[in-house]
Amino acid sequence: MALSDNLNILFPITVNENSIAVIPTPVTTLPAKNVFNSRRDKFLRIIGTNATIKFNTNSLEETTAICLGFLNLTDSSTIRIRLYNDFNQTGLIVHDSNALPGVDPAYFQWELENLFPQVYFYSFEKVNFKSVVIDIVAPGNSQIDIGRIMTGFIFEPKKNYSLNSKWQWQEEGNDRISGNKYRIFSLDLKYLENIENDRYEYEKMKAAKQGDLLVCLQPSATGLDFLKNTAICKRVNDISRVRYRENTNKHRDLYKEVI
Amino acid sequence: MTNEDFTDWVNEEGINPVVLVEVSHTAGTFYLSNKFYATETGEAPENVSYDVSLNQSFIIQRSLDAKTIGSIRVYNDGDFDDWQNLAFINQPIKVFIGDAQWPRDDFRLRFSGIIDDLIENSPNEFEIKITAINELPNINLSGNNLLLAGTINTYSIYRGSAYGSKYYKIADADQFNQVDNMTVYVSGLAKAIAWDGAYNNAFYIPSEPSPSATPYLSCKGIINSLKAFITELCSRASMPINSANFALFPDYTEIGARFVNTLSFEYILNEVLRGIGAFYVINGIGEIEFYQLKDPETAAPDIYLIAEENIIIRQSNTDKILRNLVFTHSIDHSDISQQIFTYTASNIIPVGFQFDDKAVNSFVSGTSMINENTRQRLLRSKSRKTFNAKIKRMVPNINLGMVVNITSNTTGWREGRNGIVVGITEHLTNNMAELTIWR
Repeated sequence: MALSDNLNILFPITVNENSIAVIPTPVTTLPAKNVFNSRRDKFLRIIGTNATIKFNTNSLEETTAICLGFLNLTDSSTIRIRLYNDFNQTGLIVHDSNALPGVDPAYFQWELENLFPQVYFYSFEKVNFKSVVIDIVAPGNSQIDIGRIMTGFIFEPKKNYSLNSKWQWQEEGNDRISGNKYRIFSLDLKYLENIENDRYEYEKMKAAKQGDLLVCLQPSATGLDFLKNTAICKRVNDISRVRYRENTNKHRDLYKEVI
Repeated sequence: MTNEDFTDWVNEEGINPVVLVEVSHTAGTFYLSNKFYATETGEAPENVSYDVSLNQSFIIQRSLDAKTIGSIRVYNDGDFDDWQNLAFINQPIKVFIGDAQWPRDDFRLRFSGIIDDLIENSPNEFEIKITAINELPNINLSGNNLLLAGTINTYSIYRGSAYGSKYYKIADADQFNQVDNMTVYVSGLAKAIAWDGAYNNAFYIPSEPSPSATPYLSCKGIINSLKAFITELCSRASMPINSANFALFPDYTEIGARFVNTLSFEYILNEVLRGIGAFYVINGIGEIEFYQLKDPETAAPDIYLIAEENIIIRQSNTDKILRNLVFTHSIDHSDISQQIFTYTASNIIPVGFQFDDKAVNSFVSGTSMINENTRQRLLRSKSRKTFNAKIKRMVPNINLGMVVNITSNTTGWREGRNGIVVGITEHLTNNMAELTIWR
């Protein structure tokens, strides 16, 4: 669910990783805390068709989106997100997505399984919360894999990236199946206001190159266009900023998809 | 996936293999890879996501006159900091290759060895030095080369040396068997493998004939030894231990096992026997006899008689005889010095191995076909020299000691020349190999 047409970058907040609880119990070799690890080779696996994941923040936090990355859901799956204003899920539900399709049908229409990792990106009006409950119903699955869960602040510039920003598809090796394939999003943000710049710089510094984030170039797109332009990435370039008018800032950033 | 399908995949241009490395320590196993790969429920190992931590340089070097050495560089972002508290030296390490889309079972064991050392190159990288327990070069007599009492089969005959003194675990977790420097001397004396320090688990040969024509591995000894051997055999070949693969004969006083799945038999033995320091030969009645060598200073070697007339090697082409190859055994294990004699190479005629067309076209120009020191072409020189051949793909079917026939669009090489592979360097992640050929 997109809120605007402009670039969305989800910078994840720090949550209480020890608070995570998963039903049913994950396999021991692929435990729950893996969903907070930015490494692609660390993920959570649950045997079965349904899963409920709960976790808390450390304090009252605000958020405008949730992302679940590196999923293996089938096209009959649904995901429900509930956010609570307390740590025990007995208080007020500040946001309830109700059950939504877990995967865009275009993912299977275009047989993208071998090209793009499956990413679920759900954004909403800002809320303050302390805990999250994620319910996944996947009748077509025998096991549910979740590589990453992140929630946090969406950076959304008032003026979108300039026209020469681009989307690149990279391939290492010429094997059609197993060569490393990933996307690079090259963003030229030329018109950031001072307050936007401050927040963007701060979030980039906090994430660092090691931290992952979600980049969505076309939040209002649907189907294949949305899928192509949405990926969990890490920043490649160093941070720099050009101030060229009193209240205008330019950033040029390169985000490489996590593979 | 059949071995042929795997070979076809390896021979494709530009494959980007997934390399899986399973590093053992005394308390468990770590799983590393060069790319993302995770196993599924029901696979072995089950539900494992391999740590993508292998740096790209991954080289295995094997040579007839030196220890096999391998180098695996591992990137450590902190996840492996506790490795300094674990015991890795002399523990097994296995390397598999395959494609990211394959099930785990389709990955092939590419190398199996022992961790020789673990060193830190930098705070973010350490290096695993690996070696093989031994490298027994084999003469791969493919095709109709070995005629035994009217039966035509395809088997390998081994000879060679083992290097280094390693502990190799083939039984329960608390039992280690030591493989000492094992050398088959030209004159026939053999230095032993010591099992448990008391030679209780030695293998030796029964006198009863094989109960059937299928490859029959026989050994006399304590049953635990055979079970341990079979267990390791199947583990290395990623084959389950079940009646589909081998059957024990309980009605013999000696312990024997018949490999039912004969198509895999040679593949299994190639891998396992190389790893635990043994070799086998086929006797005149179709038995595959398994040799483990003992220290002649402390115990009589258990090497059985093989009558010369029971081994017939059919000449399949007229290529020249390789004089360096020696097959040794003893005829009586009560007096070693007098009873071990040697077959000369004149009795063994190797088959030339022809590269396929793709491999020929992959020769890197500038590959040295001449003596690097004198710049002389190797025509019919009395002195035997080595040269290197680079191949732009891995070579899963070539082993040390193998006779290969090299052809190249180069003067003097168009008709092909035989040579022995005395060294193999494989760049696993770059999908390249370099052969050192001796002729």
